[in-house]
Amino acid sequence: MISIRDLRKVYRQGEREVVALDGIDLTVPTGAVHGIIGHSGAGKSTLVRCLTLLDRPTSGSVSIDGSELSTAADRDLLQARRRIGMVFQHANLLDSRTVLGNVAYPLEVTGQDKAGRTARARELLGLVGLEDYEASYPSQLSGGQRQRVGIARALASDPRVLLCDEPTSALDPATTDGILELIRDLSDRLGLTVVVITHEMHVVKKICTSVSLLDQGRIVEGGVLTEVASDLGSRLSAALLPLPEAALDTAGPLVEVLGHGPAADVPVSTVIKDRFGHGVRVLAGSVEDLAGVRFAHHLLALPDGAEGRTDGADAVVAFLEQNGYRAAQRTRTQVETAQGTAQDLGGAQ
Amino acid sequence: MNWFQELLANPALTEALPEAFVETLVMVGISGVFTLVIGLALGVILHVTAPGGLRPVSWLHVLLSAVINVTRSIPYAILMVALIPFTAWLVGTSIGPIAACVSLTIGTAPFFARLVETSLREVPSGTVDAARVMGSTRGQIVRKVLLPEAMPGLVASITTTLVMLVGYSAMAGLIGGGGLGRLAYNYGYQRFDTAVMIATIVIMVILVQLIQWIGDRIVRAVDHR
Repeated sequence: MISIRDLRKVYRQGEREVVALDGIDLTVPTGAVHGIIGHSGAGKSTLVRCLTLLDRPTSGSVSIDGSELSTAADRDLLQARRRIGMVFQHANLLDSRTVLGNVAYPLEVTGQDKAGRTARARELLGLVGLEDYEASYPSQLSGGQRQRVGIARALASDPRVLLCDEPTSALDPATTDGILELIRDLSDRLGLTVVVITHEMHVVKKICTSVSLLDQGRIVEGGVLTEVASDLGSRLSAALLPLPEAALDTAGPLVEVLGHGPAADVPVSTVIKDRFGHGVRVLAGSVEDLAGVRFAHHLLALPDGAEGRTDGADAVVAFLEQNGYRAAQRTRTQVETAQGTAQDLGGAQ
Repeated sequence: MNWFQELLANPALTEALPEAFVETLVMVGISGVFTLVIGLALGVILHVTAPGGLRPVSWLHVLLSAVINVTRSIPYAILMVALIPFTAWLVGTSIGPIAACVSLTIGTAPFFARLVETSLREVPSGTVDAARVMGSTRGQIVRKVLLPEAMPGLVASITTTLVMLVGYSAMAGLIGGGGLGRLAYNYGYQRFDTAVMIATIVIMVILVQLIQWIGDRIVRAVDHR
């Protein structure tokens, strides 16, 4: 379990103080795959450096499985760091070593004998599917293969926690999915707690069980993926379940509807027609499965003049809410803002 | 074949030249070893103590950097003369190839230290961060990460430094160091013996080419980037 309490990091830039982390509180239970998403400048890199104690936080605490990192003495810090496996954006392998030598490196610094670390490194290369490449040098591998070596290396010291910093941001989409599946699979098989830092919602959707939104050094939204997604109107929901660009050329009121589970399988326009007797136009819609739950997200246009009537927007929203949907009336500006949020967090379609 | 027999009859070529060549090799060899060891140590200390380095020690970095800059700004021709009393005190004599090694080492070690520092700086900070995150001590990072990763650059720097030493050793010959520099000066310049002058130049060119060629081969062998 990872526990972060009121973590703050303030940099001095000449006379100015820059608050990079402004009181982060976060608990990631054992076995969870937690995504931390934010656009550049939100404090992601600083958070990673504070979690691995590459930089000392200004205040606050970071503990892993109950042992406190932020106050550890230098000597204990070496031991503490070995309990965290870290995967970097650019793999950061040693070019002067073979693949096997790279994976064996963490064992070498802890003083394990050569036979032992070679055997363990081979086993790890098997785990990431690169057993045939042990004598290759990193420069001879593709980006995806290098990242697999990076993952094998991160697992060498048998960490309880895997910290992935933008693990797929330098990879093409097909390779990205392969690496994400590997991380998810390893987390399941080895019972690892995984923290993935990313600016791409795709990564969160693909492997995370929970997510936090980092903005200006604070966690502003977060929770279990399916709960966060069904919180209509939140930034994470807008980015997790983005709607395609809609032509907002209708005069009638707009209603945004989100159904999940069984409700997602019933056509919402039919439900409304059955109750109110008039049809609605679907301006945009998307249906997606997140963490095994189906979500149907729609933007509807009610007939012009429906406002204020008993079958107006308020009545439709109230009816939908009573029937297990999340619904809200939206202005055109709100729709556009949500679109912008989705784009900002790499979730736009 | 008259000119060839003349060459063979010239004792400057048959006796003094081989001796001078060996003296040059001794000078370059001994000062080379000292330069590499001292320069490598200084270069590593410079890099590690720099701001943002593995173990920033501001005063040491500034001091070392200043000493290196001062030494490097003195032309070798002046440095070797200025160091004569120090050399006499250190090795008991200021004449001969061994004595020349003192000023050669002091003249080239700071240069090599800067080259080492530059090579080490080219190791990506992400690679060093990765090593730190994996729980490496500072000593392990220097030995297992910085030096091996910078190896191609370091070998190229060693080549450059050795080539420079060959040139400096010829200059050292003028104030009693011996070697090919002295031979060229005594015979070629003072006695107008053109054959000796040309032979010296040819040997120097071959020596430098050989060092460069071997250096380049090693760089290619250790470069896996």
